[in-house]
Amino acid sequence: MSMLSVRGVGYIYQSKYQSIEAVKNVSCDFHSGKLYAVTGPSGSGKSTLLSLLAGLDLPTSGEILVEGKSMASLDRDRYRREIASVVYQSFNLFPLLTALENVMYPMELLGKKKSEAVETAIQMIGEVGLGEKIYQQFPIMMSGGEQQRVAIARALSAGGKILLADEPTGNLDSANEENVVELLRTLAHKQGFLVIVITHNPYVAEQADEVYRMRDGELQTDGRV
Amino acid sequence: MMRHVGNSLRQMVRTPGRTVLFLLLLSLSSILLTLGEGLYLMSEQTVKKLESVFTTIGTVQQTHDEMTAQKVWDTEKKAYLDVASHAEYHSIIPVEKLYFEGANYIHPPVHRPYYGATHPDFTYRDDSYIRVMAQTRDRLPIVEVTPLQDCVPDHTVRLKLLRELYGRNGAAGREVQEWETILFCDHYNPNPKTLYAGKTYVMALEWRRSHAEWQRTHTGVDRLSGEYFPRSSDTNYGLSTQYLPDGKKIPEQFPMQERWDVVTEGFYDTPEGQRWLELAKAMEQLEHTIPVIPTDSTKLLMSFFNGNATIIDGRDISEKEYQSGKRVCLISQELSQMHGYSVGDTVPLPLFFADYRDSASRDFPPDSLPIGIPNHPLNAEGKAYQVFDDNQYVVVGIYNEINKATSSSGYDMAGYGVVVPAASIRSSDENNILDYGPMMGYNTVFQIPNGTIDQFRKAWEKQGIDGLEINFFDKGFTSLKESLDKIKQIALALSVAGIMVSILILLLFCHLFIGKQKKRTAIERSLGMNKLSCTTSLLAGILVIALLGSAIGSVIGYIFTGSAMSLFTSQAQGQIYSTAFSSWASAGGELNELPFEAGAVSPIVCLFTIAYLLVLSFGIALAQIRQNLKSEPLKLLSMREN
Repeated sequence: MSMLSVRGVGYIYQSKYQSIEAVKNVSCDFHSGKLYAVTGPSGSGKSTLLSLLAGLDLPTSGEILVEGKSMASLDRDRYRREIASVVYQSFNLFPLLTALENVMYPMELLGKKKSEAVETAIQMIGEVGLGEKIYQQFPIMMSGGEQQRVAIARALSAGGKILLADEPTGNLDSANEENVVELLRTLAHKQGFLVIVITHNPYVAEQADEVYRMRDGELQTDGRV
Repeated sequence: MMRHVGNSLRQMVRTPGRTVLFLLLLSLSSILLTLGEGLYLMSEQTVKKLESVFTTIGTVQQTHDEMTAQKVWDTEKKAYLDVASHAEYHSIIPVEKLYFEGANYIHPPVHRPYYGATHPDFTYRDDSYIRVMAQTRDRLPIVEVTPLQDCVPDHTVRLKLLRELYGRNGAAGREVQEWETILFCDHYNPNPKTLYAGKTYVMALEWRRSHAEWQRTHTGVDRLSGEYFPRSSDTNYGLSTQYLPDGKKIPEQFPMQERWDVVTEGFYDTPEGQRWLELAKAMEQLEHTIPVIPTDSTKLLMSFFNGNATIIDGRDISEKEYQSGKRVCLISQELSQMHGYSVGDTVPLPLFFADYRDSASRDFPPDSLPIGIPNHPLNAEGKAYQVFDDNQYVVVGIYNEINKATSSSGYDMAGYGVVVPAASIRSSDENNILDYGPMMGYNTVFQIPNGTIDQFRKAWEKQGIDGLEINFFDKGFTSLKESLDKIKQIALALSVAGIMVSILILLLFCHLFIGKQKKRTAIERSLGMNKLSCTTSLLAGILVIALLGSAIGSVIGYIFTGSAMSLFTSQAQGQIYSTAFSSWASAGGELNELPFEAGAVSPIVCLFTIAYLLVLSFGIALAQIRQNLKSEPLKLLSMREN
C-alpha cells in the first residue's frame, strides 16, 4: 500500500479578483523507503502539492490518502506532529532556541518528558552527522549546512514516517548539498522514510529514486522521468 | 500547555533588551494609570470627607453709617476730651433682606440675641472677677448720700453715706455706719449742679481714680485713692434700653431728669423712687445671671467652628434636637465646676432678658476680663425684667475653650455660658428685649453648602443691597477643593496618558513579539501545533510580562499616590484654620485635633490597573495572533510559489 496516494487532486486559490487553479487533477503514489523528487518551473504548482501533502491545506477536488485513509478525515495537526515533517529551503529553525531546543520542540509537542526529549534530540543530531558542540548554538551561529541538518534532525525527532523537503539544498554550497542529499537518501533507503523533495536542482533530482515533473499544475503524462 | 508558556517565555527572555524595555514601559504606563486612578479616587473620597467634616458659614455685619468721636468733659483737665469713637447706624437693616432668591441656606441667617437666665443658685466662684465685684460692689453702688456742706462737685468732695440700696459690702438694706463717707466728683459734667447739705440724694455711682492733685495732698487718707462719679452723668445713658422686636426703642416712662434724685418723704412710693429700688433689685439679679446662647447649630458659633471650643464630656446637641427644639444644652466647664453639673443633669434656665446688640462674651466674659454685665437692666417702665421662659434643660455635653478669649471681638464663648437649641425657647421675648442693635458677625450667622461661596456672592450682589458686610469662613474648604479639583484634573490627565501609553506600548510590542513572529507561528503550525496552542504560546509570554509590568508599576504608583496625598494633606492642614475672628489662634493657640485627613488609597486600584493592562494585552495580542494565524504557513516559509 502506498504511504501517500494522490487521487485526482486539484487546488484553486480564490482571491477577491480572480481564482487560480494551481494544481489540476493530479494523481500519483508515494511509497515508504523511497526518495522522490518533484521538479518543475516556478509556478508549476509543486509547492502547492507539497502543502497539500503536508496537510497544511485540503484539496479543492480529489483526495489524498495516508496509508489508505483520507487526509480530510484525519486530524491534520496531529498528522504533522506524528507522521509527516517538513524541511525548508530557508531551514526555518526557531532563531531564539538552541539547536538542541529546536530538535526537542516537536517532542515537547508530543508531551514527551524532557529527559527523554533531550536524549532523543542528541541522538537525532548525531544521526544527521552533527557533534556535541552544536547543541547550545543558536541558528545564527551555524552554517547553512548545519542549520539544514538540524532542521532535518528536528523533522525526524517526532518519529514520523514521511519527510517532505522544499528545496532543501537551495541555500547550500555544493559540498553541503551532497551531504544533505546523501542524508535524505540514507533516511529513505536505510530507515524506511518516505522522502519527497521539491527541487529545481538537477543533481538532487538525479539522486531521487523517482522524479515527478509538474507544469501548469499538471503532472506531465504519467509524471515519471 | 505549560511547555508552550515555557517556550514562549524562553524566547522572550532571549531578547532581553526588548523584553526589559517592554517591561519598563509597561510598568511606566501602569504607574501613570495607578497614580491617575489613585489620585482621582482619593480626591473624590477626600472631597466627600471634606463635605462631611467641613462647614461653610457666613457672618453678617451691618456697616456703620458714620463714626462719631465722643467728647466728654473732664473736670480735672477742665476740657472736653475725645474718647473712643463709636459707630452710628442711621437705621437697622432687617435680617429678612438676606432671604433672597439664590440663597441656598442650610441654616438661614437669624438675628440672634443672647439671653440672661437668672436663678438664685447661679453664683460665681469666689475668686472670679464678677464675684469679687459683687462682694465689694465698688463699681456700681446705688446709694443715698448727703454733702457735709453745700458744694458744687466739680472737684473731689466728701459725701456722707446714708444708705446703700445696692452696696459695697452686702445686700441692700445693710446698716451704714455713722462715720462712713465717700469721695465724689461729678467728673464728666461741665456744669455740675450744687449739692446742698441737709438734702438726701440717691444716685448710682461708678468708681474712678481720684484726681492727681487730690492724691498728692491726701495720700493715705483713702484706702482706694479713688472717687465716685454719678453713673447717669452720661446723658445718652439711661437706666433702660428696652426695644420692640422691630428694633424701635421704647421711650423710658420715667426718664432721669438729673444725674440723681432728691429723696424726700414718700419718694420711694413715687414711680421715680420705685425705679431706684427696681434698679437695685435688677443689679442684685444680675449677680445670679448666666448667659444663654441660642443657636440652630453648634457650628454656627465661631468658637466651635474654628475648633477653639470643644466638647470635653458628653456629646454635641444633635441636628434632630436642634430642629425639634428639644430642651437639651451644652454647658461651659466653668458652670459645670461651679455647680457640679454633669452630663445628664438638669439645669433650670429662667430667661428674663434678651440682648440683640451685644455679644454674650462681651457682657459675660470669661475670668480675668473686665466685667461688662448689662448696666441698664430696667425696662422702659422702670421695672426689673420678669422671667418670660422658665424651663429645665438636660445637659448633654460640657464644653471648654482651649484658649480663653483675649480680645473683646465678641466671637468667643461667654464665661459660665449655656448653649441651647434656639427652637427650644418657645416663649416670646418681645417684652424682654433689653437692648437691640444692628446685625453683627457674632449674632447673625448662616450656613451654606460647602463650595458655594462664589455662587452665594453672585446671587447676593444681584440684590444690590448696601450696608451689609458678609464674611465667609470655610476653614479653607474652597481652597482645598480647588486643589483637589486640580489634582483630579492631573489624575485624569495621568490616566488618559496611562491609557494612551499602554495602548501604544502594547501595539508596538505585540507587533514585535507577535506580528513579527509570523514565521514562528508558521513553523509551529508546520510542526503540528494547532491554532489554540500557537495562540497560547504567543499569548503566554506577553501576558506574563504584562502581569509583571503592571504589578510592579501599580505598586510603585500606589506608593506614589500615598506620598502625593500625604504631601497634600500636610500642606492642606496648614490652611484649614482661618485665624480671622479667632483671637486664640492669632495669639498662637495650639490645636488639639486636626479634623482633616485625606482619603485612603484602596489596593483595589492596583488590581484594577493590573486587570486593565491584562485585558488590554490580551485583546491586542489576540488581534495580532489572529492576523498571524490567517497567514498561510507554507507561504511564509517560502514553500508556496503561487
